[in-house]
Parts: sequence; structure tokens; C-alpha cells
Amino acid sequence: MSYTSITFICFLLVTGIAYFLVPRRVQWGVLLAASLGFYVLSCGVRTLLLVAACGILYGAGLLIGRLTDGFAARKKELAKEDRKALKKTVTRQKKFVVFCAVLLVLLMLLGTKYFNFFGAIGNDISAFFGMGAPIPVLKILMPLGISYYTLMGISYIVDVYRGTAKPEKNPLMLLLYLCYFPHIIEGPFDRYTRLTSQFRTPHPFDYDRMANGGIRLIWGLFKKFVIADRAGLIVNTIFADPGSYGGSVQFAAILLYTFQIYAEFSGCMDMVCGVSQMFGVDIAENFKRPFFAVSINDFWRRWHITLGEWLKDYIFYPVSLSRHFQKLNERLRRRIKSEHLTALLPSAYALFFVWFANGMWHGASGKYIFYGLYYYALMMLGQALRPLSAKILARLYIPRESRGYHAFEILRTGLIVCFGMMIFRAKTLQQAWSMFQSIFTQFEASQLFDGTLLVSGIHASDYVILLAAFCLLFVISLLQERGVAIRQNLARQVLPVRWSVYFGLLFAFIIFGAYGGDFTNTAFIYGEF
Amino acid sequence: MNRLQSLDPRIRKLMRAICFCLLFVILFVFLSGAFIPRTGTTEDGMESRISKAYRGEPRDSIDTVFIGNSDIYRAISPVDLFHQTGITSAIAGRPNKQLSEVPGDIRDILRYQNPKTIVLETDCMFSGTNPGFKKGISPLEAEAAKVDVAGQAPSKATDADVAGHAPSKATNADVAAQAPSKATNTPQQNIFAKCKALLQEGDSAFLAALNYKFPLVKYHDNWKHLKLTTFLQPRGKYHFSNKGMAYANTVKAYPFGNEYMQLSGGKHAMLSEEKLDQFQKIYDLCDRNGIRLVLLTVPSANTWNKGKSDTVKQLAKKYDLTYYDYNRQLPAGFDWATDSKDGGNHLNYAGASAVTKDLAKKLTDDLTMNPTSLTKEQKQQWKKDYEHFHKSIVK
Repeated sequence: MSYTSITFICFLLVTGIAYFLVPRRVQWGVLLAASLGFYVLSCGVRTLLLVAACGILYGAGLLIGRLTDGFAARKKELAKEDRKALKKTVTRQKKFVVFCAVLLVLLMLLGTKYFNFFGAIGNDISAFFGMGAPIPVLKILMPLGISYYTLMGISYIVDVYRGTAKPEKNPLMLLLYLCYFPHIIEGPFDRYTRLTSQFRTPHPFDYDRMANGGIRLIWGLFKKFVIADRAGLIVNTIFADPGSYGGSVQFAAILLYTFQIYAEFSGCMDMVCGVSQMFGVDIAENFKRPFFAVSINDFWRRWHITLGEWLKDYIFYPVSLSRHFQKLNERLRRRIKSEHLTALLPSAYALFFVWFANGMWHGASGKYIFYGLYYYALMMLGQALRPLSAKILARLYIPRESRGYHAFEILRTGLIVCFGMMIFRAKTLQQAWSMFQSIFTQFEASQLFDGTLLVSGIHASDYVILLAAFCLLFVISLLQERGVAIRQNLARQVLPVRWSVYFGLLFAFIIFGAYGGDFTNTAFIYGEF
Repeated sequence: MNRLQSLDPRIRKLMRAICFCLLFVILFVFLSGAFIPRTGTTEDGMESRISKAYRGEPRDSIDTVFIGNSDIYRAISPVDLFHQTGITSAIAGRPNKQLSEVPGDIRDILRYQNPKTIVLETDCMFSGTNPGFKKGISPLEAEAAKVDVAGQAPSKATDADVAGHAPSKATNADVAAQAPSKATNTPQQNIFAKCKALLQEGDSAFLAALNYKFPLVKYHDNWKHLKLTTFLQPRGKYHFSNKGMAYANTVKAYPFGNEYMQLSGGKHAMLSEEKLDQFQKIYDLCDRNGIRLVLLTVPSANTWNKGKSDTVKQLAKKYDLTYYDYNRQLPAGFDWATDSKDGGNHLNYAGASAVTKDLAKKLTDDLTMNPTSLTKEQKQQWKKDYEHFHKSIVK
């Protein structure tokens, strides 16, 4: 079931009616039933994998809880030395439980999403030693949202281990956390405590909240249908055979793809946040105007925020705090005199795992690993050259705080992101490289105006719509960046103004949406990860 | 105003929500009218031949309206009929037209026209639910999947047919190609896949129904062709020079002559009580409005047979109606080898020309129909439409 289907609207209506009619203490049960229904209808028997993951995490959570409670009960009776020894033993046991649980759920992810990828690597190695290709290529249907619920499950069990979350006693609540229908397709990665506390809170019907959620849902639909799907039509055609176009058109396709993926992903987030808000559950925000970022670091703090936070909490910190890392750090401090380098090298080590995991999470392909490492390399380069750039700026009397420099930073980051998106979208790394080369060697600016861009039945008027939608998106983002709460401001306006905006947006989506007829409806890009 | 403010805030909010929805529906209906293409060309956004062409004609200027399913809009050419007889006509055809829809069509026709004759194509009497619609394929594509609920489809044509509808082998394959397999339930599919397919079908069926009545979603991309004047005349003022006819020049022969007429094995096809009631309503409506009702069956090798023909013949006798069945006696010059577009299911323009020519004779000679007196401008417009139609088909 797609978020953009009529069935989903009916499904929402039925769920909404049931949600506000049942006694409030069991409202979460309605969400669970709806989420399971949504999941089962989307991927049938593969739901068993979700249930199995939930069972493993539930059991592991209880076990960790029992170990923690056991230690807490016994520690008062013990002497300091014995307490220390017991704590060490219990910690080791808890670590073992976490390790097993994480390994099992990761195996499920590896078995479905990465089997063929690792199989191909295994076959290459085996072929190198002249042993043929023993690992078969399997047609595996990936269960819906497995990349999302696996990572959320890991965050739950690690939080329980760390003591920041209590082990869940009710397996159904844990199941709801994993398969909550607004976040199962494209995330965000919500944290267990934050989300389940909202599930448990009763939510009476609130007209204003419904209206607020509704307008966000429509804004998401506008972004998806008017911008993303229209741009997608052009992007798909040009990326299908980039060699037939000049560098200028290829560059335009790269820009459009960046625009498309942002509109689509953030649009989907607006939709799911809007839907969830209607049920009184505020899920985590995943975007914060990423194209106003002044550096790559800043960009990733604004783009797919919850993935970045997940990687920071469950990869960067564990690596940084590991004994091995501490030893390495100490050794570096002893041997290298430069303060800049002693700060840079350890973070380079820890961040390598973060960006490798980021790339791997996006897909089982070398291209995605390269995509992750592209950002890693640029980020490290930026940090390494910081003293040099500071010197150059000082020599040229360019203040970092000036508006001009700020705009330059935004443009520079945007350009880097666009090339990152080119790697992300290209079929292969070779294709990405040849597109990159074409931009500098066969630019042919005239192709931008001679109708070459009018591909796949796209009219010039479609570009006008894209431009207008882009301007609207830009103005709204700019206002938000300046701290204006758009929806709250809108809610304070008189009814005719409010309704004009609502109807305007609604009919703009219906009329200017790129669906039906010549347009092909595309699935959510991040839904495939 | 004070009264409103003194209301319980919850009731005020409820009223506001209802008003919002109502306003949305009104705007949606209004814009649906405005977005319908003004001509029948695909360039203008017209996706299908689903037509209410009579709406675009000057008031009370149409003599005859043909109502039926895809058979009728493939078999009659109103501009040629006008050229031969001066009789003005239009087609109110829709793929898989149901008999139950016909009274509504007649009422709609009477809002715009005052026809002397309504010609009802009889294949829609035997229509059931079209799997094509269920599968969410577009209406023009759906015409390839005419339904035969009487279950008397010719065996030659239905060997591969699973859903009880009776297209030829060729059209069946077309439908299979057009309607993705995800929508068809094979025994191998599990319950989840069946539920999923059902939801997809529901989605498509809802959209198809919405698009038929209020086609804003369907024609939304037509904003590129809108002018301000469109909004001043939002309802049905588009001009369709084909007058509801769907032109096809492809040829796919039906190789079995008129054997299909014998496939019922001499048995009558049954018309349910419901269908008979619906027919009674149609008859009463025409009778009340002084319209002559004529029954017509155009050549159709895949869905017609003698059993059905006999049933309609009896019905016509009971109501004292004129009935022409072109399957019993093919029109002069008609040839199944050249005059079908899809192996006997529908006619191409050559077939339509033969039927129109023969029918023109019948309308003037048998039924002694005289053309309505048109103004000079109206006649001029019909001539223009005739020329435009013939020019466009030459292209």
C-alpha cells in the first residue's frame, strides 16, 4: 500500500475513526492493528521476519533487564571488590546478549538486502583462486522497511543495555515501535523511549492538531507530485542515456535530481509527520533546510537527521569510546607534535566507520560505499585544510561572518552535494565519472535552450511549474530558516486567508501533480533502501 | 454571527470542517467541468472517446442519439450519417456501458437535446462488470474486454479466457498485456497477494468511477490548454467534431465468417428481471418524452450470437420496437476480413462506414426520419466537422 494511493486515504480514515472511538488506554492497539495490517498487505509472509526480529529484541531486552535487576538486588549485600567483579561479569553477560541480538537482526538484514552483494564478492575471491562461483545469485524480495526497523531495533537494545531505555515488558508495544505505519517505509529512525511514551499517552480528538497534520500531509503530497515526480521524468530520461546529451544537460539533470530527491524524501517526511501528528504522535524530524548548510558537516546535520544521529550514537561513540581507540589516541599524542593532526587523525579513524556504514546502509553496491566515502573524504579534506583556508582568508581580508562568504559556503556545499547525488543516482561509478567529465569537456550551453531538455513529453510549461514550485519551496525554507513557524502563523490568520492557502495547495497538487496520463507514478526512492 | 460564536467550540469546528469539505467538493466539480478538453484530440488532452458529444452541440439540434458500449462508438459515424441524410446525430458511448446507466444518460441528453430517436445498441443489455475496469486500465483499453455475462461466448474465442468475458484471442492478449498480472488472481497466489490485488483493484475502480463523473483528476494535466473563457462556460461546451465516434483504421480480420451466430446452440440468452426492469424504465422514459426507441446490434463476432439476437427480437416484439441486427444480415459491402479492428470485437472505419451507410438508408426509408431544420450556421458547422473529420483521418 502506497502512501499516495486512494486505499491509503481510506485506510487512514478507518484507522482514524477507530483510534478516536476506542477507549483511550487501548488507542495504541488500534495503531498496532493498523500498522500490522499495513505491513502484512505490503509484504505478506515476509512479516514473519519482522515478528522474528521483534521476538529476538524483546527476549534480549528482558534478559538484559533481568541481569540489571539481579545485579541491583545483589550489589548491596556484596563487598566493594565482589561488587566490582560481579558488575564486570554482568556487563560482560549483557554485552554478550546485545551482541547476539544485534548479530541476529543484522543477519536478517544481511540475508535479504546484502546476500547477493557479499555473494558476488565471495564469488570474485573464489574465482581469483580458480574455484568458480559457488555462491548463487538469489532473487530475494526485501521485506518492507527492513533497513529501518533493523536499525531502530538495534537502537532499542543498545539503549536498554546503556540503561537509557527500560526493557519493554509488552512485546506488542515493541512490535508497534518497529512497524508503526507512518515510519516503516522511509523512516525516520525514531528512538524507542520517545515514541513509545507517546503511544502510551491518551490522545483525544483535537481539531487543530488534525488540521495542522492535514496541511503538512498536503504539503508533502505537493512536494512529491508537483516537484519530485515531474523532475523525475526528466532525470530518468537523461540518466538512462547521459552520453546522448551535452555536459550542460547532464549538469541540469544532476541539479534536477538533487531537487527531486530532496522534494521527494522531505515530502514523504512531511506526509508521515503530518499523518502521525493527526494521531497525536510527533515523530522525529528528518530535515532542516539542508540546502542552507555551510559545510558538509552542517549538511548532514540537516539531511536525513535521524540516520546521522543513529550513526553518531551507535557507531561513532562506540568506536570513539572503545579501548582500542583510546590507546590509538594516546599513541598518536605521544608521537605527533601537531595539535591539528592529533585532533584530526582519531576523528578520521572513527568517522571512517560512520561513513562506510552510511554508504552501506543506502544500498548493497560499491557505488553506495563510494558515495559514503566521498563525503568522508571531503569532510576530512575540509578539516585537514582548515588552518590553510583560515590563513588564506586572513590574507585576503575575507571575514568568515560576512554575507558574501556565507553565500559562497552555501553554494560550495550545494555543489558538493549535487556531485554526491550524481554518484548516488548514476547506474554505475563509471557512468558517474563520465558525466562528471562531460560537464567540463562537452558543456554545450546551447542545449539548455534549444529544446533538448524537453524530454519524455515534458513541455516548457512543466519547467515553469518546476521553477514556481522551487521558488515556493525556497521562500518557505528561507522563512523557516529565519525562525518563522509557517503553519502556526497561518493558523493565526483569518479564515478566508487560511482556506485560500489550503485550497490553493490542495488544488495545486491535484492540477499540477505529475501523475496519470503521460506521467509514471514512481515509488519513493528511499523506500527502496 | 453572535449566534455562531455562542455555539459549543466543538460544534463550530465540526461545522467548519463540513463547510471545508463541501467547498472542496464544489470546487472539484466546477473544475472538473472546466478541465474537460474542448475537442476530441489527444493534443487537447482527450484521453478517451468517453463522450457526451451531444452536450457540445447547439441546443435541440440533434435528431438521433446512439447509446451503447464500445461497439457503438466504433460502428457509427455521425458526420457521415449527416452527410448522407442530413440527419444530425451523436454517440453517447462508453466502454462497458451498463443498461442501468442508460436512463441516466437519457435524462442527461434531455437536458441538452430533444432527439426524435434514441438508438440503443443491445450489447450493453448483456454487459456485466468489466474486468478491464477492475484492473484499472484506461477506458479505451477497457473496451477490448467486453463482458459477456450470458456466458455464451464463442468457444473459439474464449479458450484462453478465464474471467467469463469474451474477447477474441487477440484482444484477450491485449488486455493481459495492458492489465498487469498483479491484478489477476491465480490459484497460486496467497491470501496476501489476493488482498493486495483487491486493494489495487479498489483503488483503480474508485478512480475510474470518479473520473467518469468528475474527471478533474483524469484531465488535470489539461491546465496547459486552459483559457480564461473556459471557466466561464465550465459545463459541457466542448466541441467534438467526431460527435462521439472513435476512429480506427487498423485491420485485424475475423476469419470465421458468421459462424459465431450459431454458438448459442439455439438457446435464448436470459435477461434477468433486473435488466428487464431497467429496459422498462428506458422504454417509459422515451415514451414519456415522445422519443422513438430503436434497438440496434452492430456486427460483433466475439460477443454476439443467435441466442441473444432472439432474446432481443422477442423484447422488441413485446414493446413493438424496431430492431436491426446487423449480425443476422451484415450490411451491404461489409467484410469480416477487412472491417474489424481487432479480430471481430470492434469495427474499424471501413466497417463503420458500411454500417452507417446501411443505417442511413434504414432511418430514412424504413423509419421515414426527416432531418431537423438547422440554421445556416449550424449546417455550416456540420459540414466543417465532416470535412475536418475526413481531413484528420487522411493524416
